[in-house]
Formats: sequence, structure tokens, C-alpha cells
Amino acid sequence: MSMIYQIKESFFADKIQFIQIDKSGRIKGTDNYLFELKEGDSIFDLHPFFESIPYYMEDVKKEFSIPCVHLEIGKTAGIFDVKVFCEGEGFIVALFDFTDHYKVSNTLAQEKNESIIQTQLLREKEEFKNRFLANTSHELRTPLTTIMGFTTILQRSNITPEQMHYLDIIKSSGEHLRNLIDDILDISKIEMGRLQIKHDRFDLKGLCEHLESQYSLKTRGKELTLAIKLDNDIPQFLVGDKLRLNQILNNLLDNAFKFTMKGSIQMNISKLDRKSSDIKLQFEVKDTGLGIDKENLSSIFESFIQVHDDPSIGGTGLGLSIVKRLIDIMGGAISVESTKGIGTTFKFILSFKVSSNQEEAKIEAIKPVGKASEKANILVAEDVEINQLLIMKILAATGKYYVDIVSNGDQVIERLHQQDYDLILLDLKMPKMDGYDTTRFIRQSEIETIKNIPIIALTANVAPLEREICLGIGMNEYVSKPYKDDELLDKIDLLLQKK
Amino acid sequence: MRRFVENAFSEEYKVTLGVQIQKKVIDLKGRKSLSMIIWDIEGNTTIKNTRSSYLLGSSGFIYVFDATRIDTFNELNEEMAFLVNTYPQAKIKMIANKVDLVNISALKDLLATKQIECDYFTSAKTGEMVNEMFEALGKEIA
Repeated sequence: MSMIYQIKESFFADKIQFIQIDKSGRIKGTDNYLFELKEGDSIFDLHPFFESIPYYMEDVKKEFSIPCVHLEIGKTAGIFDVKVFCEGEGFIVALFDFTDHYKVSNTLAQEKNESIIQTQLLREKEEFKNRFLANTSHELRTPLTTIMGFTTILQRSNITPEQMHYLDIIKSSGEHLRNLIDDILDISKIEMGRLQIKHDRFDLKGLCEHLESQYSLKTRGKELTLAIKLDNDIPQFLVGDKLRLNQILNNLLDNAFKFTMKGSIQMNISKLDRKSSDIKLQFEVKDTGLGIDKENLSSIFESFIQVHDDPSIGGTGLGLSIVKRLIDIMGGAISVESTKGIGTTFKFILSFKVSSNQEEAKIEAIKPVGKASEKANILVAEDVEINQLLIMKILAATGKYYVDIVSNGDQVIERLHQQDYDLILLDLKMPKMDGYDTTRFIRQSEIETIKNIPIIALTANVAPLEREICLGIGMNEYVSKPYKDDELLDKIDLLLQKK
Repeated sequence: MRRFVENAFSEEYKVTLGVQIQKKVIDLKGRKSLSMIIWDIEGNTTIKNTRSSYLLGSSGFIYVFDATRIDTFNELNEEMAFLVNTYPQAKIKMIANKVDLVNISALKDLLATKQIECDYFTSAKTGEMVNEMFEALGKEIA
């Protein structure tokens, strides 16, 4: 046994030091295993930690232990656990050297800390990117509204066929640009988790017919056929997000047309499973186009990735990324098979509810009645001069309205008290009183004709919930920029009829 | 953004376990000088997780938070309440550090909306207000 004690003593000898001090800190005895100290010296002068001992002991009375104390005495430094206990008229200070152990722990803690910071950094970068994309797309929408609007107005003027052709090109480029901006906005919304999937009744057969007529135009002049097939055992009316399904199919068909010069493009929809009102469908978009290299297949769903080097093939590289993310959000799955030079097949599976109502709604033509059949008074509030001119031209071209234009909310209120209007077109971002405050002011008016006047919001802000915010504070409709003439005019007429 | 990237791995993010102890003598102008033994304690997600042996017997606390980390602000009042209740004799100062990286008036507005009473706005990097803060705490303790 004595040998074990000897080994133990020698093992700990260079790890532990005992120091006896009086209450004034004078060293009465020391084994000097770690630090070379002199009896009679004041320990308080060696390191400020020791000066704390008498104060600390006042609180704890008998003994205390403090782990992981960094001490440096003379040329020796280390990290120690310290135990102090009362002994006679003074204290015994025991220093346990755990320098190696704490250095390892410190390295691990540092690595953990850096990993946390790295994660935060990535999150901040991602949020910054998404905010930037959302803001940029908003800023691009405003001038695009003007370009598209005046192009339409110009097309209605007395122009030559050649000029009409040029305007068609401008317009189709504008449409393309608008789609790209929408893509950028969509991806940022998806990545910020702000895209919500709707569950409304929609006509799947109608959607397929629309896609067929839309895309069969693109086969003209090419050695290319398009076939869209919807299996007969799939009910016509489903419940789901038609807009997003349409967006997915549009993206895949656009892609197929972009990369297929001749051969065929097929879209097939088949039923995989049906339990009660739940139905699982497989969508397949198949082309005989360029095909994709095997090594590129895994990255085609990533944002900003374009696997084809041909600069004549445009796009942001967001289309397939949006498709995958939309399908993910809708609880589905997408896969791709491709052979270079043979073609590509995208398959995805989505679940829907079958609508309990399979009756086709009878569409009755809306007859112009009431105010829409007379000339209506419209007040336009818009601060940007070029936009004022555009709206003026759109409204004037119909010959159905008298139009007054003001450039801020204060002027709207002033005009409403001077004259009766049938409707207000209200830009939301204006100097002085903006569109939101103007609406709140109008809806609180004590004059009934002012209080109840229909308001259509005009905005380039297509942030999620913007529409809900507008309707929530009392606006009747919402039109996002860049708007199409027909869309704006339809909404005006609908509100005037209701009035 | 740039600020965050540039500072993410600066010295200020170095982890030091345990406690490092220093001494600072403060001249209290006209009165005797005060010797402060300062225990610089390892950072923690909450003061409640800090070893009580590091806090016991303290005459005062300087609670330092990172002014750039807005996500931690909601916990500050609870942290202060813990110190006040657990160590009622101690003088406490709450300090916003790294103010060289933020707009101080915006920071003050934000803290006011959360009813957080911060005593000093310091920058360890530039040394701004650090001495003033120690002197003020010293006067209260003396």
C-alpha cells in the first residue's frame, strides 16, 4: 500500500500546491510544488485574486472553492481550481493545476462559439439577400409599369404595321422582364418563409385547356408538337392552389420549349391514388430537347444555376428552383430524368382535395348597368408625374370617365369636399398624407358620400399581406404595378356597378 | 452586414473560460483612492448559469451586454432582476458595449421601448466611457 501512496504523491506533486497564510496575507508556509514563493512575503502582492480571500471568507465563513482561475505569478502562469479553508488564525490555500484540461475545454468552447457565429452569419447573409431581392424587384416594377402602359397606349394610336411590330417586341420583352422580376420576388418570399399556399376550388381541366392554347402558339413554325393529356378518371374540380400549380407547369413547359428545337413536348397528368376526397396526382412534362449532363442533374434545382452555357438561352436560373420549392411547400416531390441529346422528363407528385361541387359554374355576361353605363367621375391620387399621365391616358382612351388628378392625400380630402366622385384610384406611397392614412381619414368621414366612396389601391409593393392590409383598412380593391389596362379597367367597372 | 462580417471573428469573440482577475486603483478626487479587484467572468447565455462562486462576495457588478445583438435585449431586465434579488447589497451597472458599431440614439430608443435602463454605453475598442463607468461604480461602492 505504501508504494501506491508514494506513486500517488509523486503523481500529484507537480499538480497541487498548499500555501498557509495569515489574515493579512503573509505567507507562513508553502510546499512550492507549482510556484516558488517565499515565507514572510505577502501573497496579496503576488496576484489580486488572493486579495479577495478575506472578503470572500466573510461571506462563506469556513471554506470556499473557485474553479478555473487564471493565475500568473512571476514567470509561471496557469489555470487552477482553488480551495481555501480557515486554519487557526489564518487560511490554507490549495491550488490545483488544471491548465491542460482547461486549455482543451477552451478550444472546444471556442470552436462551438465560432460555429454558432458562423450559423448566425449565414442566416444574416440569407436574410440580407432576400430583403435586397424583394426591395429591388419592387423598385423595378414602378418604371416597368410606365413602359408597359405607354406601349399599350401607343399601340392604340395611328401607327404603321412596322411600328406595331416593334411595339409588340417591346411589349413581349416587358412581359418577360415582369416574369423575371416575379421570379426573383417569389424566391425571396419562399426563402423568407412568407409564401402561403391557398386552398381554393379550381378547374384542372380548364387549366390544362388554357395551357394548351397558350403553348400551342409556340409550336408554330417549328417541327414541334405539343400534347397535353389529363386522365379521364381525374375529377375536373379540385381544391388547391391553382395559381402556384399553374406557375409550376408554366415554368416546366417554358423550360421544355426553351431547350427543344424539334420533336415533341408532352404533359401528362395521371391519378396515382384516391382515398375519399384525397387525390394524389402525378404530373409529367417530357421533352425531346437538349437533355442535361448527368453531373449537372443534381444542381438544376438550385437558385441561380443554369446548366447550359449557351448565352442565347436566357433566364435567371430561378425557374426550377421555384418549381422545387413550391412543390416542397405543397407537400409534394419532384424528380428529373434526362439523357443528353435525347430529352428530359420532369415528374412531380402533388395531393389535392376533390371538390364536393363538380358542377361547372354558369357564367353570365356582366351587363353594364348603373354608374358604369354613365360617365363616371374618378379621382386619381398619384405623385409621380409620368404615372399620372399613364393613368390619364388609359382612362381617357375608354371615353367613359371624367378624371381629376391630385398628387397627395391632403389634396384628395380637399377635392372630396369640393366635388362628388364615384371612385378613387389611390397610390399608396405619396408625400404628405400617404394612401393608407388617406383611406383611414375617408372611412371616418361623417359625410356618407365620402365615407363610402370606392377606393382602389395602386401599388408597386407586392409584399405578402399587402393586399390584406389594404382591404383591412377599408380599400375596396388592390391593383399591383405593373398593371394591365384591362385589369385596372375591369376592377373600376366592377366597383362602379356595385355602387 | 459588413460590420457583422468584419467583427465576427475579432478578438471580442475569443472565448475565455473561467475567471481572470485584475486590480484597478481609482482616484476618487479629493477622497482616498479605491482599490477595485475586478473579476472578469466568462460569458454565458444567462447570468443564472454563471457559477455562483464567481459572484459571491461582490460589492458591485458590471453587467455587460453586446449592443449589436438585439436578439438578446429581451432578456436584459430579467437578468438585472436576478442580480438585484440575489445580491441585494451589490451596486449594479448595466453596460452596452461595442457602441462604436451601432447608432447610439437608435439603440437608446430601442432600449427605451423595451423599458431597459442602461447606465453606460461603452466601446472596449475605442475605450469610450470605460473609465467613467468604473469611477462611477467606485464612488457608489466607496
